[in-house]
Amino acid sequence: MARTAKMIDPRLITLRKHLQWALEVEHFTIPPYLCTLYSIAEGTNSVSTAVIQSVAMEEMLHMALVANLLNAVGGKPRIIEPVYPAPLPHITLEKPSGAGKPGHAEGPIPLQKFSPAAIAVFMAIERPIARSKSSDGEFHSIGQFYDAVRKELRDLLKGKAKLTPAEVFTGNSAHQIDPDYYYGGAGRLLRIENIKDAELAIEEIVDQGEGLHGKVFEKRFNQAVEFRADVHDQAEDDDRGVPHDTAHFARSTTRPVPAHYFRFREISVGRYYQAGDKAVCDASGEECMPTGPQLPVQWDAVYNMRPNPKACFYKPGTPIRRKLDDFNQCYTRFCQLLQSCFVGKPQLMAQTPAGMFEIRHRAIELMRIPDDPDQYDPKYPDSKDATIDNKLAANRTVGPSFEKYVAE
Amino acid sequence: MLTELTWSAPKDFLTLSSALTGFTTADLQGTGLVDIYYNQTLDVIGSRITGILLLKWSAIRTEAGTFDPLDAKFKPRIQKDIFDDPLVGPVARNVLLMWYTGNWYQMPGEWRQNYGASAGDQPHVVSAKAYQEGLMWRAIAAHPPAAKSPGFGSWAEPPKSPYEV
Amino acid sequence: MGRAAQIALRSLTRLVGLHELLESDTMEFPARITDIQSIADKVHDVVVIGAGVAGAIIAKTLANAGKSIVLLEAGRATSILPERYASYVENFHLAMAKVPNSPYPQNLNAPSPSVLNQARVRDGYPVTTDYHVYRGPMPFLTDYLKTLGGTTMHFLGTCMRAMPNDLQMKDKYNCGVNWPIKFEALRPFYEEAECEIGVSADVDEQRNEVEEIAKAGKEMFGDKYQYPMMKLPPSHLDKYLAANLNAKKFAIDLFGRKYPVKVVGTPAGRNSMPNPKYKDKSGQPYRPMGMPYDANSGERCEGNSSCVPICPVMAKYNALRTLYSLDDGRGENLKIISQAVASKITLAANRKTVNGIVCKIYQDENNSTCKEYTFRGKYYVVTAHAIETAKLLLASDAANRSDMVGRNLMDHPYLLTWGLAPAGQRTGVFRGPQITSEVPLRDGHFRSHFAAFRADIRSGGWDFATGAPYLNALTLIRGQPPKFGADLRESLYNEVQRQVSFGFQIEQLPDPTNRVTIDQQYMDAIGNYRPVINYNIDDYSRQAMKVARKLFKDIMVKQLGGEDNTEYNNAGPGYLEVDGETFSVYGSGHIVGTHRMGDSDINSVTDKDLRTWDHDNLYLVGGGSMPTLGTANPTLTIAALACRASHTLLKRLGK
Repeated sequence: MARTAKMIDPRLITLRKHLQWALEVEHFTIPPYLCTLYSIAEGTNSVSTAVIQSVAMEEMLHMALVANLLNAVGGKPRIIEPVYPAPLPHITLEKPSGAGKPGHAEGPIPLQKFSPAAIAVFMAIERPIARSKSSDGEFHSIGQFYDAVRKELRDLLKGKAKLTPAEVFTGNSAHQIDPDYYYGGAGRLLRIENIKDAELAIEEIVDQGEGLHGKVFEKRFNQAVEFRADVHDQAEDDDRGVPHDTAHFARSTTRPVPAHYFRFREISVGRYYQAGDKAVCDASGEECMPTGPQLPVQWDAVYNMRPNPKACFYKPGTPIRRKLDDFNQCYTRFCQLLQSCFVGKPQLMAQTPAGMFEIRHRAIELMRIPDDPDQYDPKYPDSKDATIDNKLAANRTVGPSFEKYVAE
Repeated sequence: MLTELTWSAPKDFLTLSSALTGFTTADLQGTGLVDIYYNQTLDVIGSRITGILLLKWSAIRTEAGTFDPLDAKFKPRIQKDIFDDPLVGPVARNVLLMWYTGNWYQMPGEWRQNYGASAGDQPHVVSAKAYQEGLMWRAIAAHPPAAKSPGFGSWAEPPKSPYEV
Repeated sequence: MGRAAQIALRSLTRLVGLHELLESDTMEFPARITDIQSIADKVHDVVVIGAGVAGAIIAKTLANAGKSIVLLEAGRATSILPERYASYVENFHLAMAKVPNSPYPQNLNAPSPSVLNQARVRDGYPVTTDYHVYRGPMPFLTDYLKTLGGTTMHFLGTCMRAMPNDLQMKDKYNCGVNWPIKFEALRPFYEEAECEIGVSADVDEQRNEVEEIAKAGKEMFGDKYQYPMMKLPPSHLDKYLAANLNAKKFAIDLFGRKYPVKVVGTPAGRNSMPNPKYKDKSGQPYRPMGMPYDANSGERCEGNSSCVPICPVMAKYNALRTLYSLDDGRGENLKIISQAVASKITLAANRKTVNGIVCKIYQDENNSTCKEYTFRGKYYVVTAHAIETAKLLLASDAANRSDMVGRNLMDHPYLLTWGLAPAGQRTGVFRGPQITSEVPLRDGHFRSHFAAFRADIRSGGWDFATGAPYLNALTLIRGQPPKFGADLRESLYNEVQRQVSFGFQIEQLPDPTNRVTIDQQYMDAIGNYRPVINYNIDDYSRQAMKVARKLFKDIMVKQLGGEDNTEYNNAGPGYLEVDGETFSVYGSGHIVGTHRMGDSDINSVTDKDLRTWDHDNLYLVGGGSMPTLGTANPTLTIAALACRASHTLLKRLGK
């Protein structure tokens, strides 16, 4: 095709590529969070449920923000359904100092039930590590990745080879998703039309996320501590003594301030942080234990879903296979809907809540359905999941597989 | 009223429930109520009569030689051997009603007269979960009020067709 | 909800639900006594009785302005904690009869009426099975709720304004009475109330509708007004009906005039998309408030289809949200005491002023042991609901020089009609808010002859009319032969998906013989009077039922090509006859008129500022203040009157 327009700046192409990666990263984290969330038996583990749900909702916000960013710089977001288990795409999570010890997860990220192992994986995803420029060209944390994106964006607009804002923000503003379509979680969706908006959006993502940023690590932690102090004060200055319910009440009405990592760590160790707690012990340099009130975690109030279920494990036409196919169709339809929203029909966002609720209701059903070897497809020896101890497998349930559905 | 402990329902109870309700066994298991409903039936109807009902169903299945409880060929036999039977027919209806509504309805007066009433045979909502999982809501492409909300604006769309839900 | 609300909450939890906290082991009964005594020892700026929508708005507005307020609530403050609110939802799930009060446990010391306890009054024997005593000729067919938040806990959420002519019924149609204020005096307070509650509607649609039928569009809404939130999406059924009514210009002929019959969106206190054109008084955009204790829930309606009796995510307004959104740092000004049943208003020797409110405070709703406290303020506001406010005044022999206290009791008789859309049509019922649109016949010259009405387009199909879909399932499964398997699924789907039902809310005129009285024969557990009610529905309202009934039939049969299946049971408590034709009605819970405002102390209880004619420092605010009912659900008008009364009180208290 004959084109007279001048070549697109390769740096802009890289920026768009990295924003597409960001979209994939954000999307990738959501099914594991939802899976673990929906495995919690209804009406139990109220704190853990609230934490995982709020994080999942923030990741959805990040996805929408990234789509707006990518659209703003003239890119075209593509939704790609992840396959589990798999490592986080495009980012090689750095092994923390405590690697190998209990509570630290390694290896690919699975779909799995609520358990200490699942929370360890979430901590690994959200773990803050000192901010520094990547030395090996790879990204080692989500925060580091977004820092790079921000720098790419800034660099485009300054220096000798700088582009004008009009050359960078070439997107069609009609493709931007309106802020009112995101609600119910912390943070705000933004329309992005210039560098100021873009900076704010990245700030929003990084700020809510794992809270990396070297010093900000400290700041983040301090925020967590201040926040607890509120609760603490209340208990202290009420001379009649407020029962724990009330403290919890005050806590749950506040926008959750602590970064994701610390919220997961509280669940992991079963205690809240409180004023005076430190993230890292001065002496040993290791993570400190929170010393606040106990946080009751009911690890066994959970549906025992098998990790990383797949529809193909079950014979076509069997009730379980049909249930999984229905779920995957629902998930795939939702991804297609998002795809349409991101490439020019943002008003379709109005239909997304119905899709999310449907995914939830169907996922919970799958959480309750006992796994049934009679329905296994002999073509797939994986069905039997040889790694599973038979005794555990007895109460095992199917679980949602979050797969792209392809009609046969 | 149910005791704290529940016993696992035999497979016949699950497949009979599937044949009666028109939902797959996985649909029924997805409600988390198979064992609860089995126990509710045992509690009110007793194991002897429940056993007769399951035996009749098992005989129908064996004779038919198919394992899919939703197979249309079961229909006339269920009608004749189960629903037309004065002893187990009303029990099957109550089990079916329970699946659809989440409620235990009192057995018909004539049945209570002939086979005896039990103290637990009072109309009640089996449990909050039973209410939420009533299959009739799914059958009508809706949801139970105050549970399983469909999301902002979903009501503006046309309802789904019967088997989309 | 941010930090401000959190701080307000922290202060609130100190006293709200004081008694709820008592249940914990950490607190002893005497601790509570000390607290309450210290509140009773002081003279506060204002003592407010009743923590429903009116009481909450007044308490919040005055506390925000720095005034010291005591807010007394007869019921419990159960919903102060998130787990406890969820327990209401579970109660609803577990109730066989899912009536408006089903989530909320009965409280013997602060009882609420129940629609399950109402029966026809036969041969002049009063019905005493309910908390109210019904002396007839008809029972008063409705309920309300005593708890923190009041009846807004179970209200539908409809928040529409009265129409200007509703306030001038005597002048315009020679029936009823005029209000002592014109609509324009109320308009700014409607705007304030719509912000407080968070109302979703399309102002252009509302304005055009009112303009078309009454040339009052501008009078009601002005030129520039915007609602805080966009109109809720109309249901699939609304759209189907609009395609057959609005699009086909269907009209009804009444006394030689044609009135359009069309589907119009119903303004609602339910969270929708914020309206980008809206700015509040301080120029801020509107941010919906959902569940005060869970940031992840309720910022939009989730379509739980249970507005009445409880929204699980508080996307529907209730008065708790008003209490939770006190300004930063103002919590200390507001002392809320639950389980405090006002039993007497005490007057100064010259009867010119009130000098105290005597409350019976109980610890356990099943144990009638109480202790009496007297609370004092410079001003007293009774916002205890139309029936309870009247009862309290009668019991205290207060404010009744006009003999109007308790009289002119009104509600909207609720006439259900139901039918089936043609085979193959899916109406999409049983999803989403219980009402998103209506078919109004709210004003016109016919009001000289019979009552105006509005028809709710019920999104719950025949639920209220017949008990669908339970009844459909029962009938199919217990039929001979029974339906089962795929056949059952399909039959049920096809039956229910054709259901259409309207609920006509019919205007009622003030009638002094419809009244609340007290009688020493009838006392409650803690020695307060039970309301005794005389009630009837007059021919003005009954004639409208005939019109409504025929209108529905025409819509179903002529416009939709479907069926009208309405059939009234002549055994129900709401049975009545009109010219030999049988009807059966329910109540709507829109209880008004019992302490009406007016121009003269001869025929009204308060002046236009809601101050009693008899006692200089006593105000009465609520549905009882309304001289006529019109066709609007009264909550928004009650809220507007509360906003107006707050301003009056602030003026009198001085800055």
